[in-house]
Amino acid sequence: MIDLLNTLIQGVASMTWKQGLMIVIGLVLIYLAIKKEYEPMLLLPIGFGAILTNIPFSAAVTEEGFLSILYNAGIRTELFPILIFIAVGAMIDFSPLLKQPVMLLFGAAAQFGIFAAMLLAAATGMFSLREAASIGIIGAADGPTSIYVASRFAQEYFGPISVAAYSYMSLVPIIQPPVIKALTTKKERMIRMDADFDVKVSKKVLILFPILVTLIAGLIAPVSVGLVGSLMFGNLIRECGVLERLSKTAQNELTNLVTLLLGITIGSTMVANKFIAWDTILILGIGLLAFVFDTAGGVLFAKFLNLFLKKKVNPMIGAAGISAFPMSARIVQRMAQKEDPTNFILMQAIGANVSGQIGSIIAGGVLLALLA
Amino acid sequence: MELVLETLRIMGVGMGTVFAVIIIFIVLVRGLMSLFPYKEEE
Repeated sequence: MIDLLNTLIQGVASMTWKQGLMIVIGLVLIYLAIKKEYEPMLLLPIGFGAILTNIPFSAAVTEEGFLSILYNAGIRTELFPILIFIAVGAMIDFSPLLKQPVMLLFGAAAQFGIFAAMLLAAATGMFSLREAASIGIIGAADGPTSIYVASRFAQEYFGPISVAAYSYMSLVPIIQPPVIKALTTKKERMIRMDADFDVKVSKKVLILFPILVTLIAGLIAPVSVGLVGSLMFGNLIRECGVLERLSKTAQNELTNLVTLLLGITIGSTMVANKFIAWDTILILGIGLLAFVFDTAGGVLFAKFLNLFLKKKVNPMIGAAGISAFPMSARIVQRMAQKEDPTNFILMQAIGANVSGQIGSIIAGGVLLALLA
Repeated sequence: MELVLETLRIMGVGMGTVFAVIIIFIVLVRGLMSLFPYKEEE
């Protein structure tokens, strides 16, 4: 009888404070997802995964546990991020970018945060170069890219990196405005941008764009083919016009299913002993700074361009060059209208924001190529 | 210190490569848009 009781209470008796804290963190993530609606599709599965993995003797994370199987099948093999890229590609409309290709420059400038954060991580002396790159890639503001790079270069820090990447993405509306405000004047925020949005994009261009981008990126950095190729494959399915069913499946069922599995698998990497450590706090801190540097890089680049341009750009557009789509573009538009309710820069901001999605995977691919 | 210097090198090469690829894409888009302009029947 006593043996039976001991077996029953062994979970409670062997719970460590770290596991208890991780379960509380899981509950907080679930609260944020449900009550505050911060990225609920991700934070809720991540939170629940964290709870499942930190229950003492959890059967979910043993060698045959379903979370271990999902991790080995979906993360170690890079399958989940690749599937997410296909789904994201099927959801992206590149037209705003094709109408104003110069916006691509902002998608490049706003990747500054990745490299600045990488430098910071390396300067701490606590991480190797590859680990520093994986921490820096949080600044891609693009969950799948962060997972893709971290799963190759920093399996040990996979949990904190992916949690930071997804959490900060949902906090973009809180992170970006103060940085933008600090770096711009009221006059700059009121700059109007005229553009001819009546330009229409032909079907041939929409079809050729993903194919040629894959070829060019692949030839420059073959290691980036997984990242760029899957995104552009999804986009080709969308634009070809003959695979509507597949396109809708990629946009809906595939996205939902993989997001669900990805979220709970990320949560399962939040193991107490590994997660509650100074390294984690440092990674979370540097990740936050990566988003700040991204925003600053984009805004300052726009201000730099304005030194040479006759027709000035609103420097806030630079901040929309990060990959968090469409949140960042909306923030920029909201800030512009706060200064001048008749100012409408949403289309330009969306162009920059879509560019950020391309910029982030290029930056990810470049890091993979440089550190392979 | 060596690690920081190496990271700085990667930072420079990395940002340079990102900009170079993006500029190639800008040229590509401009080329595509002028080669295949939108026609009304589309």
